[in-house]
Amino acid sequence: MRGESDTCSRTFDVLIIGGGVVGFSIGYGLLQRGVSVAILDGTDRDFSATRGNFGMVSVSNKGFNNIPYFRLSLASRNLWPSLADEVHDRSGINPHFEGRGKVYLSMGEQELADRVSHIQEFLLRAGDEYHQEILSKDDLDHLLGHVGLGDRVVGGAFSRLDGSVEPLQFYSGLFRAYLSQGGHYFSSQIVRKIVSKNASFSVQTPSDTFSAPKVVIASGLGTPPLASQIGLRLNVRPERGQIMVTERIERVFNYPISGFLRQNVEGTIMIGSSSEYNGFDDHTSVGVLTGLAKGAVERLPLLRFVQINRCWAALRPRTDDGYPIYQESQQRPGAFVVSCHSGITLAALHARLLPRWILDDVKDNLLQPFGTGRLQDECAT
Amino acid sequence: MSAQRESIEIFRTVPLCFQGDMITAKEGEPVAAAILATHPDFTGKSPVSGRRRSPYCMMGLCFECLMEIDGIPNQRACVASVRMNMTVRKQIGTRSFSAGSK
Ligand SMILES: Cc1cc2nc3c(=O)[nH]c(=O)nc-3n(C[C@H](O)[C@H](O)[C@H](O)COP(=O)(O)OP(=O)(O)OC[C@H]3O[C@@H](n4cnc5c(N)ncnc54)[C@H](O)[C@@H]3O)c2cc1C
Ligand code: FES
Repeated sequence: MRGESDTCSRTFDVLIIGGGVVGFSIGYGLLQRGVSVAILDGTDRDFSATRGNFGMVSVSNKGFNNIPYFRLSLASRNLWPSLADEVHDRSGINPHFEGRGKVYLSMGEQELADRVSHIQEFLLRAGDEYHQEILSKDDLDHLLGHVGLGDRVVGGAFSRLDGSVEPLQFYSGLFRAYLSQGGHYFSSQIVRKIVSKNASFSVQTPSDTFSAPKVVIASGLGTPPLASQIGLRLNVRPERGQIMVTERIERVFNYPISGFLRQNVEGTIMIGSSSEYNGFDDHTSVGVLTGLAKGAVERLPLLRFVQINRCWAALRPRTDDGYPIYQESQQRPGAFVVSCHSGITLAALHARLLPRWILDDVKDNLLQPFGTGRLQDECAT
Repeated sequence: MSAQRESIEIFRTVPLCFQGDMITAKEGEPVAAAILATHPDFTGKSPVSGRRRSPYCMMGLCFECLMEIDGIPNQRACVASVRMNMTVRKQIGTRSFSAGSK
C-alpha cells in the first residue's frame, strides 16, 4: 500500500494507530468533520484480520446475551448502505454491500427445535427490532434458488437483518476514499511510545515522531501494550479463523448461509470461518479445513464437485468478553481505545458515530455500555 | 543438460483433441505447453472481465490458464499432464454449479 515519506509537518488533529478496517473506518469518519487525520500502520507482515475475514455484516446472531450489542450491530447495519455508496463514489471501488438478509440451515430435528426456542427467546429480549423466522426445507430451497439441500437439512430460518460485503474490495475502497478526502497514511510506522505533554500527545516510532491533541489506538492484536501506556489495562486475544475459497462458478445462491457459505459477486464461494484459540499461530490446519469442507457438502451436496482454490487463516482480535471496547483514558484524556471482534459489521457505525465522541466528547448512548469498566467489574466478581 | 533433453525425447507422442481439432502432444508435458506450442492464442475468457486469457506463470499459481479438460471445467492447464486421448476446450466464462457432477 502507498505510504508517505514527507518531511513536512508531522502534527495532525488526530492520530490513529493501526490501519486495519477499524482504524480506517474511524479515520474516514473523522475526515468528514474537516479535521486533519494521520493513520500510523505497521507492516504487511503484521497480523491483519482485515485482510482475511468473511465479509458478513452480522446482526441476527449478535448479542443474544447482551442486547445492547445487538442494537449496536443493528444500528451499524442500518448505516451500511450510505457508507457503501459513499465509498463507491469516492474510490471508484464497489464494496458490493448486500443487505437482503441471511439463511440459517438446521441439521437434524434437535437443531431445528433449538433454533425455534432461540428465536422466541431472542424476540422476548430484543423486542420488535429483532427478526428471524423459521422456514421449511422447501421454502429454504426456493429462497436459495434450488441449489439442492442435503438430506440432513430439515429446515432452518431466515433473517432480513443481515448483510454482506466483499471484504477486500471494501477495505481497498475505504483506503482510497480516505486518501481522496485528504487523509494521511504512513506504513511501517510501528508505534512504540505514546507520551503526553501540554494537552498534546507525541507518538514515537523507531524512525519518527508524530503529534496530535487526540490519539486513537485501533491496533487490533497490537492494542494492549499501547493501551497500557495511556493507563488502560485490557486483553485482546487472537481467535483464529480459517476460510476456504472455491473456483468461480455461476451465481447460484443469493443469500449467505450463516456461519458457512457465501458466494462472492465474481462467483467464488467462501466456506468458513472456523473459530479456534491457538495463540498467535495463523497457519491453516488440515483437520479444521476438512471439517469446514464436510459441513459445506452436507448442506449443499453439489459443492462436492466444486474445486477449492485457496485456503487461509487469520486472527480475530477478541476482547475478554468478546464485546467491543470504546474507552477514553481517564489518566490521559484525548487518548482513546477502540477494539472489536466484528470490524466489518461495525464499520459503518465507527465511521458515523465515533467522530462525535472523539472530537466533541459526546458519547452516543449506543456506545455507553462498552467501556472498560465492565471488564474490571467482571474481574472483581 | 543433454540428459534432461534425452528424458524429454523419450516421452511418447500422443493425440490430443483441442477445440475439436486433433493435435499432437508429448505424454506427461503440461497441457498448457502442448496448447501453446500448437495454438499460441488465448486459452479462455475471464468470467469477470470477459477478456481473453492465456497461461502466465506456468506453475499453478495465477489461474490464468483455466481450461475444460475431459469435461471438467476450470482446470489449470499448466499443472495438468498430457495423457492419451485427452479432450481440451477453452474455458469461456463461469462454469455451472452442476457441471462437475456429470
Ligand atoms: C477468519 C475471519 C473471519 C471474520 N469474519 C468477519 C465477518 O464476517 N464479519 C465481521 O464483521 N468481522 C469478521 N471478522 C473480524 C474482522 O475482520 C475484525 O474485527 C477486523 O478486521 C479488526 O480490524 P482491526 O483494524 O481492529 O485489526 P487488524 O485488521 O488486525 O489491523 C490492526 C492493524 O494495526 C496495526 N498495528 C498493530 N500494532 C501497531 C503498532 N504498535 N503501531 C502501528 N500499527 C500497529 C497492524 O499493522 C494492523 O494493520 C473476521 C475475522 C477473521 C480472522
Ligand atoms: S499459468 Fe498460472 S496457474 Fe497456470
